[in-house]
Amino acid sequence: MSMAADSLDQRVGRIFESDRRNLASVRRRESLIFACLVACGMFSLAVTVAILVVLVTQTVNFFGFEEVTVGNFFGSIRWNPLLGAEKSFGIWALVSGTLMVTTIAMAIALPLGLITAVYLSEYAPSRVRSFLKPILEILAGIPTVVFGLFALTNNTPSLRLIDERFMIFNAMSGGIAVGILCLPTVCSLAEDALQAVPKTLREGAYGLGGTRFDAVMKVILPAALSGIVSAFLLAIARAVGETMVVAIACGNSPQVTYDPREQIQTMTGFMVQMATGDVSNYGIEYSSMYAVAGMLFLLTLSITMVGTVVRKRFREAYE
Amino acid sequence: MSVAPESTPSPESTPTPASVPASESVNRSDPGHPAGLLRQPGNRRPTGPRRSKDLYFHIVCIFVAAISIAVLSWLLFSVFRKGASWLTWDYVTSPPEPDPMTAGIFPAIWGTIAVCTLCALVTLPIGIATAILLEEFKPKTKFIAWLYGLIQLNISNLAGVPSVVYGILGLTAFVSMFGLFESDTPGQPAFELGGTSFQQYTSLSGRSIYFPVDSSSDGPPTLVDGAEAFQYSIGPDGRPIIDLGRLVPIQLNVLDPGDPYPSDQELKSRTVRHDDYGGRVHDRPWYYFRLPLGSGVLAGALTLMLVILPVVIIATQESLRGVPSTLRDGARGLGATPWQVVWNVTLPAATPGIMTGSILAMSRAIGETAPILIIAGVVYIRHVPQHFMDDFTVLPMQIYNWIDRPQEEFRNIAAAGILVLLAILLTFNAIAVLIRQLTQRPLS
Repeated sequence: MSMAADSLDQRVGRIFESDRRNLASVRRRESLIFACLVACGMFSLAVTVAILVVLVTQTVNFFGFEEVTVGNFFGSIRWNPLLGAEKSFGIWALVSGTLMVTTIAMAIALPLGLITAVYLSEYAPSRVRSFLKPILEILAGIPTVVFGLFALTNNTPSLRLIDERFMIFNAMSGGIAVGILCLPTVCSLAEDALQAVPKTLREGAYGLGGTRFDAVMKVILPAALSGIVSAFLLAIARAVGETMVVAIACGNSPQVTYDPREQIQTMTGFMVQMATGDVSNYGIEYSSMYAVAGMLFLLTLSITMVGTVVRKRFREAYE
Repeated sequence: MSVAPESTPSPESTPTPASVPASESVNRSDPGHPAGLLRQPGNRRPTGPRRSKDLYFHIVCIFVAAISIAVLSWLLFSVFRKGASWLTWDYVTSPPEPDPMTAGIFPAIWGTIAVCTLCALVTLPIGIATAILLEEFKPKTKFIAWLYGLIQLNISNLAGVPSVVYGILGLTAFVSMFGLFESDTPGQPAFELGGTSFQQYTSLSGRSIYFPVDSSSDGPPTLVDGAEAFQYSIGPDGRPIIDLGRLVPIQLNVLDPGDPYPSDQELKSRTVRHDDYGGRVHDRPWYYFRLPLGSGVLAGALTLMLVILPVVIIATQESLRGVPSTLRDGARGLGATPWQVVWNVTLPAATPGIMTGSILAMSRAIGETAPILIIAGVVYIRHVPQHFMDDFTVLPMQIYNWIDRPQEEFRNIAAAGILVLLAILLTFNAIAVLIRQLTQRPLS
């Protein structure tokens, strides 16, 4: 850093000493650079517009096929785009698969993540915390294929040991792996939210004779609620959009079921099946991939939007 | 720490008469009771419902934290146990053979390096520029302020879009480019630059003959006697040099029906049958370019750019916010223009943070599988990518490819691939942490 600081001084000096240029050319350069920056800034907007254009046009294209009706898409629970004479495009078969995996995952990730975060933030000795926190951040970056392999070679055999009726590919195995995948994210973000609660509040709680449990339950958690809820929502959005684990471990048969021992297919799993299979680039199956992507985009976008609103609206501003 | 049941308050904790009944009654329903606040000398560890509740909760916390850590450690351990014995030098340096014993990840490693380097070169300038715009050039008009708000909201929403949706976007926008560049032959580029294509025939003596064609999407050419074709040049050791860039011209001879079968060895080596259909080969240097991009390295890099752009922007914004405003004010006071402030003061001060954020974003790009899978599909690649449009595979794709097979051995080599992937990611993380540690010095 000392090097950077030195060069900082030198650079400031250079600005000061540099021969005075023509003011007009300086202005021209400034506005040129500003225009470049604005162009880069607009790029992210262009990405969103491109996503919307692609998804909307292809979805319209999809509904243009004779076999597809809006009523069938939103009203049926049979998703059968590939096989048989009678094709059916009931999105709920895929949505229910996604919901089941997400529910299982969140049942694991949210409680474990939140309590671990409370432990790290409020109970753990500072040495334990400074050791575990970076590890959690690294674990949050583990590629998702790793969890897929774990689900297939660890969860599934264990589950089948407990109950033989678990299929080789089942919703439970993938759901557990997605939950483990989300765990470091929930934990790290919730811990950040807890740490953001000002120290004075904690001290006030202790000063009033509260135990750590009282302080956590009555002061710190309520104060950090908006951050925790947005961490939860982020984890849910991540679980909904998780692709590789469910493609590897949950199977390929879209159906509405309440039995986590069964094979299912999620929206993301279907997209992977389409992209990796031998499907022509112009057929109805290929278009259905875009319609599913559109639904997925809408779902995650609304979760993220709710998260933004929660963070803004319900933030307890201290100090 | 001693665990005292609620019903039997220890005598130590009740030194004053006032708190004897209180140890039972001080609880949530009676927070105002003064006895709860009393700390008498010698009362080292008071008990009571609130205390024991705290203790139980503490134990639950430790227990749950231990479970979380144990599960994640078990995950890493089980992968390690599966893959460690398969991880050999041969594994790292050989292509993915159909036999798991000899299969390796060499093309996948080079694919990852190529795609991610290209991705970094494209993403970092755009991402950092966007962050600078939002943080350092404050809006002057209402419209621009509204635009900034829109961009900011948009970035936080883009960060939540599943990567598989970016894969779909990449498939449409980069691989097929919205179908804008249609060619006559499906699957072939409509426009290409820098590459040479040949129709490859086998001569009567078994040597390959290369007949140049105009574009890779043209049909097979018509063969005429005396046309110029090419063959591999013969090296000093008498063997042909297998390199399409170093062909030597020959005069083509076509064996039409009724022609006498040539007996001269030299003539045989440059004679093809008139009905030889041949096959298409391409000589494509590194700068070969085509539209639409197809599922090549460049399309992969651009798709990954979509995924990590929001990450880079958010990380850069955070480190720019961390630069104390006194530095900017100082530079401005010396008469620096806004861009001079950014270039000479803010950016150098924020560089460590930007580097850390960028490295972490790149490690995300290295591990992404879904978007690459969507744009490229399951492919079998044995070679290192040669040009920007070349087919490629990346490490996580190769791993997925192996996991998806039913044989146990392939899962083992997939685990070995994961170990390599994790080693790369750990190195990246370590570099990021190192930068953070070395540069942690207050600037104000």
